[in-house]
Amino acid sequence: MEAVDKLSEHLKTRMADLVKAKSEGNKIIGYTPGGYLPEELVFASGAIPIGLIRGGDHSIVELAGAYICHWMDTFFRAQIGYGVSGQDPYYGIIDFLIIPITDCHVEALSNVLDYNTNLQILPFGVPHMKEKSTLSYYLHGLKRVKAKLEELTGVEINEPRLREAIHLCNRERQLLREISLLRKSEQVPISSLDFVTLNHGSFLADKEFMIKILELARDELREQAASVQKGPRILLTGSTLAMGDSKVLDIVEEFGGVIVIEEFAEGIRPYWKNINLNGELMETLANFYFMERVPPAWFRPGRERHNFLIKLAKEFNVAGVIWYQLMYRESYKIESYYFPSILKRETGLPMLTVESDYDPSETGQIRTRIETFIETIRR
Amino acid sequence: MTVYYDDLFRLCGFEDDEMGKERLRVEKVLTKLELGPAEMRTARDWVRQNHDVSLVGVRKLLGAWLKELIDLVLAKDEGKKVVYFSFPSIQGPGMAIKAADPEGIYCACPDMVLCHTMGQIFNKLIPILEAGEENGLPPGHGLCSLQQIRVGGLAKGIIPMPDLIIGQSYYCDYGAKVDELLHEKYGHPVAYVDGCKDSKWGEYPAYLPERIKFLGEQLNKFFDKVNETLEVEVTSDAWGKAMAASRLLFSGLGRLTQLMTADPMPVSGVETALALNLSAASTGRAMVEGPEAVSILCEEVEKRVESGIGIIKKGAPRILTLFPAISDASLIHMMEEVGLAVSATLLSVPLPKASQRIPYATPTEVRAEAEMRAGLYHSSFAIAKRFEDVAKTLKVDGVIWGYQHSCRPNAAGSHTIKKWVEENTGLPTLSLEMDFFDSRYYSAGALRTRVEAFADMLRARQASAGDRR
Amino acid sequence: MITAGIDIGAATSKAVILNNDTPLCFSIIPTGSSVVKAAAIVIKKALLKAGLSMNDLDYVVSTGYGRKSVSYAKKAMTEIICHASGVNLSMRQARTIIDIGGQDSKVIRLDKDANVINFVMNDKCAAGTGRFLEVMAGALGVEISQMGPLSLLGKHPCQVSSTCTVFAESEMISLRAERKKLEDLLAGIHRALSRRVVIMGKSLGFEKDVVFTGGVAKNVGIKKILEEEIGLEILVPEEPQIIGALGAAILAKTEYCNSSRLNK
Repeated sequence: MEAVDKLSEHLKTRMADLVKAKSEGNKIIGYTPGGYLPEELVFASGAIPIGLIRGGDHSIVELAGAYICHWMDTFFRAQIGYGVSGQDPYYGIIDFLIIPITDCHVEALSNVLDYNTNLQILPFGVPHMKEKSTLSYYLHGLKRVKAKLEELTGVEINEPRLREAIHLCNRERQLLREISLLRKSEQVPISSLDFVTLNHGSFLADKEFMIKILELARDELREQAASVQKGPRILLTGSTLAMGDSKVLDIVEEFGGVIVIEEFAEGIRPYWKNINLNGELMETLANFYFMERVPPAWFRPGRERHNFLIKLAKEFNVAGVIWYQLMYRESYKIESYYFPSILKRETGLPMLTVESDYDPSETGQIRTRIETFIETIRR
Repeated sequence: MTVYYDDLFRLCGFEDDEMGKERLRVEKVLTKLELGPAEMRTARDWVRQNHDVSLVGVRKLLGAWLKELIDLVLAKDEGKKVVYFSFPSIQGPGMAIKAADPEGIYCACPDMVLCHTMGQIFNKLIPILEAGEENGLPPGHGLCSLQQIRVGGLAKGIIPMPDLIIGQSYYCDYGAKVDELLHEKYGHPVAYVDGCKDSKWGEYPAYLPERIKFLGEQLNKFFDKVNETLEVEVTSDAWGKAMAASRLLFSGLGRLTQLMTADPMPVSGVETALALNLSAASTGRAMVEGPEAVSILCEEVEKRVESGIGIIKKGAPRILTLFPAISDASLIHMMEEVGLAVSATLLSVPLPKASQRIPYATPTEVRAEAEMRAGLYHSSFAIAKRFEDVAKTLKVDGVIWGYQHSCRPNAAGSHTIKKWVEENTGLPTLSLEMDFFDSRYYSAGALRTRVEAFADMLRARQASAGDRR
Repeated sequence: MITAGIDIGAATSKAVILNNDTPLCFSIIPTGSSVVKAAAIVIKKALLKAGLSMNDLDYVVSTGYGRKSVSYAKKAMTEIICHASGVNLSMRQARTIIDIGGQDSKVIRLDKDANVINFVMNDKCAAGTGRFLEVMAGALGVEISQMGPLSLLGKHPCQVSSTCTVFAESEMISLRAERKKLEDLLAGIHRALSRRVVIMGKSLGFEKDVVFTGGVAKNVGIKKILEEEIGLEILVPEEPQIIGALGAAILAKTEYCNSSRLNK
């Protein structure tokens, strides 16, 4: 796809762009990609947000072994590895790292990096239930982030600036949604690999440019007659889908399956709704990011997300669900035990569980499982 | 006429009249738990091997745990409303619920009770762990052994189905997820108490005031749910009773911890481990009779201290740990055998005093503030700092940072806490991956080399410092 | 004074006989399935070599995984303490020991008096130990003694996982089927093992002189990668595999002196 190619070119020079922006006095704000840091706040302060979403490389995960035992989620051990080794240049260029503390693994990352590196870290809490007191707590956190950004950049995050930033991010969400929803049709116009590439790109690319890319992609898809080769339709869900961790997508495609929709806690930017610009904007932001977001598995109770997955499975007319999670993310592990029976009961659909530690030696087992599953649902 | 279980029960402090009163209940429970004459003999030998049964306090503590087990297993049969909480738990809510309806409610942490009884006394915890592994918490994924015990206990029908679970997810994430698993499987209602551990590394004892307000609100909301589900009202009177009972136990524990720092160490850490978890596990008989047993034990230990009697050589290196292994006493004994006096655990020392006047008025917020000071609710850094502060205060010779491999918040500090304590105290610190509740993969034999080498290191340090106390 | 040190490892058992400060001889045997038998055989062999009998031994210290099963040893001490002592005999400047044995690996930090000041150890998992190399040698049909030299010839080391020896073995077989060069596979294997050990020791820090002990220390490929990863020169004693037993024999001297003093 032309859009994907153009995005790739842009990302190749992104570091150089950021270096230039930094030399011109701009601040670069890194954050962990759980969908709880409103980029709008960063844009409204004039800074550039960078989502740290790289993963998939086992040699980086191994580096974390000097700082933490291995009983921690793979993606966050990878972030520790990147943070301490300098092997991800984005870690080197950010002025600040904002970490929304969602579960224990993210908390571990915050502590380990804060103690062992010179990274400037601001953690703020994301509670695990949706109610008045938790929303209020989350809003407190956003206000602290706002204050920190204002201090860093010297720019006041006022209403007009916030409004403009929300418009910008809404446009991106809107486009991602439009493109994603095209996959509801029987003729799937865009592969999961391409969609995920676009989604991942949105964490790193210049926002205006990203929006143009998405518009280009949407237009391309409307015009083209060709589509992805038909095959069993699959919902892919799980904990983290990092940039650089495409093996499940590749293998599904290889065996003729078609992933038509993804749902992940981390790594996939949520795009299901737009922010309504009513009321006090900070409260609106908090409400949108915390209450309106379909929560990840560590929220309790997990029913909202299960219902959402069932809804997606039906609306996208899938033949099966692949649950892809990383090792030691216990919230997902435990759910993967009882969700299949809920899924079966509500939709009759089968589910395959795949786990990974980003280890190349797992590939054989993963291939066997996925191949078998696809054959099963093909019938 | 003696019955096959009399020996063990008397060994565990049961008096004649108690045996008489409880016979029917004891037999029901032993049948349900499949503990026959052979198992009783094994348990009797196991208790003798691991505990100093010459101490009346020890026997009474063992008895208190057995009584709790009996009450747990029979709670539903005897018409009680059953409430479960997990570990670690905020001190208070469970006790307050019990105090609100002492006759009608049974409230406990069943996993802890099973550890101290089926584990520590009967050495029959493994089948329960395995049942947990088979019912949603498989091995190899670092899933909490306590949760495995709870799930296994329910699956095997050993512990009754609860009417309410107190989902205390303020410390970890998967206690709450297991509560949900149980809800899906059995329909148990769950009342959650959420927490948000977002303090920054380096930030202790300071904290954001919102954290207190948040936990306070969570506790209030939780009591509303309790009201709704169990039709019980937790009044401030009940809350007050709960706090009083807690204080009584903790003052006894504090005294015991103080006595343990004597040189030579007067009793084994396995005895203090019996006392430590009473409030973490029970709101019933163990909590009622426990403090009395602790008192008796303190008297006996004090006599030993006065006479200079100890179970380890005088001058043995003194160690601070986080928490003792509780279902397998051989782990603590191994540490003592290699010559270490594990004189204090972080969870048994008194809380640090509040650094300023506490501005919180509501009991739940006062409770939340105490939890913040204690460290577990605060953050990983708080644990590191508490280790540092307590190690310095107690003037220990070394720290064994024994962490629960399957507890994510705990294990996350595997390297950082060791490094912090070493750098800020100058004390040798052993980072020891272990399992406090399931010693299958972390047995005394498996851990011995590290602990023994650490003990040798400490003794060499003592020798070169010319410091023979 | 004649002392002996016995190191009963999970893979091999070693005995060293010491005459005051001079090692007289040593023996190495596979431990096999009976540590008691191994303990009996290994000392017999050593005594035979030295032309001595059990009665000539003034004191025996045992170490290693099977140290409690050596009935003729007066005392059992951990391999960490024994390694520190063993290295110190000939390498006074040693401040870090990397020991990679058949089934465990350790990094030990020492002070100038050969006291252990910190240590870290892996015995839960075969990756990062000699067993990893053994399994790979089997999978690739290579002699263990050839692995090191061959690995040095690998120009493009394959990426090999070191998380699980069993899976790495299957990975090796499929990579071989893909016609990857043997030298590159070996280089990848050596890299995986070395990195794992270096990462384990990183939290302690490496200070020179760094000494490499254990059976795997004879492997030139591992030594080279360790040097690259740590950035320091690595010294290997003449007989790296017997350092634990040697240290035990040296500590036996001290124990003997202490006990004679007590008896006076």
